[in-house]
Amino acid sequence: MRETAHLFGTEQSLFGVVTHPQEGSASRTGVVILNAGQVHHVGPNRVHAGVARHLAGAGFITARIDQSGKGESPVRSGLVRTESLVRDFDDVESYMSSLGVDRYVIFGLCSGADDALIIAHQRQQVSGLALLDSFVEHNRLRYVDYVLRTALDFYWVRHAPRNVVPRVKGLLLNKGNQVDVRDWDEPEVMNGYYNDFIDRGGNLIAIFTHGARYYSRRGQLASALGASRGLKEIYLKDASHTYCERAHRESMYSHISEWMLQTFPEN
Amino acid sequence: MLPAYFGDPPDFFGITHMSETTRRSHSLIICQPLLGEAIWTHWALKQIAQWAAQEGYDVFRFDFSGTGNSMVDSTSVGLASWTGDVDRALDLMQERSGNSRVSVLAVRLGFALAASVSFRRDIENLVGWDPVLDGRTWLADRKIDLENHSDGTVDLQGIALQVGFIAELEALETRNVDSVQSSAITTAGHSWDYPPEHMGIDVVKSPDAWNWREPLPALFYAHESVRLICEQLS
Repeated sequence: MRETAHLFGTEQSLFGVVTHPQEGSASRTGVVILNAGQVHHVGPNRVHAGVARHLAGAGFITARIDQSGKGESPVRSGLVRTESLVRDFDDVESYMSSLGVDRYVIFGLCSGADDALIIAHQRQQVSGLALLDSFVEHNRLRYVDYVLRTALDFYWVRHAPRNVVPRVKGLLLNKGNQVDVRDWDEPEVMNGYYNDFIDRGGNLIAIFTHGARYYSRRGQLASALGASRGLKEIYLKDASHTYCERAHRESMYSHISEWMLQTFPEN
Repeated sequence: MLPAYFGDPPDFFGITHMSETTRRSHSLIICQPLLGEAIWTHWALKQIAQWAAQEGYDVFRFDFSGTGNSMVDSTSVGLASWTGDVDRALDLMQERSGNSRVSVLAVRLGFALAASVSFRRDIENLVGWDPVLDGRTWLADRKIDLENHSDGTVDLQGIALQVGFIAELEALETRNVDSVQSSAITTAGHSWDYPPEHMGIDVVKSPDAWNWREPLPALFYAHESVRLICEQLS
């Protein structure tokens, strides 16, 4: 396995690191990893570097990029969000196709998952989505449900001094990090993105953690979409939103690489 | 901006910004902080690198072994690897730019690592940003559970480090930086391990309300600190 650093696109402005599998073992399915919020291409707790190397070990060429306006990549001026997202994808696709890749899986955590859905809606080459704590339709009782789950969850009680106390303190001081920064469209639009993707034969793995406060029951996404075809849904109940613990990161890496090998088995 | 992996095997990641105007014959090495702190300061350090390139510096910033984009297995890393990375960055930049004059901007624990090589390298100006002088202080903030490991490693924000390396970090001390002209930008929450005046460090206080323990997204943008650092370098 080796990694190469790139500036993609005709303007040579889109930064990315490509992880190459061993010589001669590369699949025709490539993976593009998007930013998690404002965190650069290494990912929170090095998740993006970890998943890229895990997937390259399984034979998939993987590019983790800094989307325009994040990390090392400058903003594409004059473009709205969707246009910028698609241009980024086109630039990295142009490079990966030169390596023999002709279908793509997009990996996204948090807002990266939201961006992945939008790109998949715009580009037919996207055959798979690996989404962590992505959008799922929820009801108004979700916070009550979240509090109950937290109170009854031994993991969070055990970690209370580190996790709960600072959050409560932050909320009381009105300085907490509970601000909802996700930029979701209306539920019917978001569900439409999912359904259109699955209807055209796309495959999706959605992994949710305890950190997704709006996720209150297993199978919630399948239930909201009214179908389970093309969808694998997993709940890692002890994992935090940014996968702070090694065991949870490794569990997530394994789930995704197993799903990749089953869904795109032509290695 | 030229991102690349260096070495044989190519496992050392760094980004070079060659000067965009009349060259000063002066290079700047940026030693970023470690782990999560590297993420929080990334935007600010990129801004500083771009400013410095516009001002005529050749700039190099890099990821310490076993962190960020480095291809080095983090469980094989020791203190000598991280101080060796500073040496490697200095060598690489000297080779690429041909400049003999070099300044170093070092953030948090990066300062202790840069200071430890400053005695044997010809560094013109060492600028710190909330410098950590002792590894013990930095580790105390990490709240590491040294008892809770099964394979001889501890997980620090996504990076598995040998328990033996943690002991090396605990012993890392910076008692003085007399061999080099030193200054430091400090934010509101910074506290010194020793009085900086006894260390030969000139201090400039930044009004940025940075808190290294509980970073908020707003702190990706430490405008005043960036401005003061650029002032110190110019």
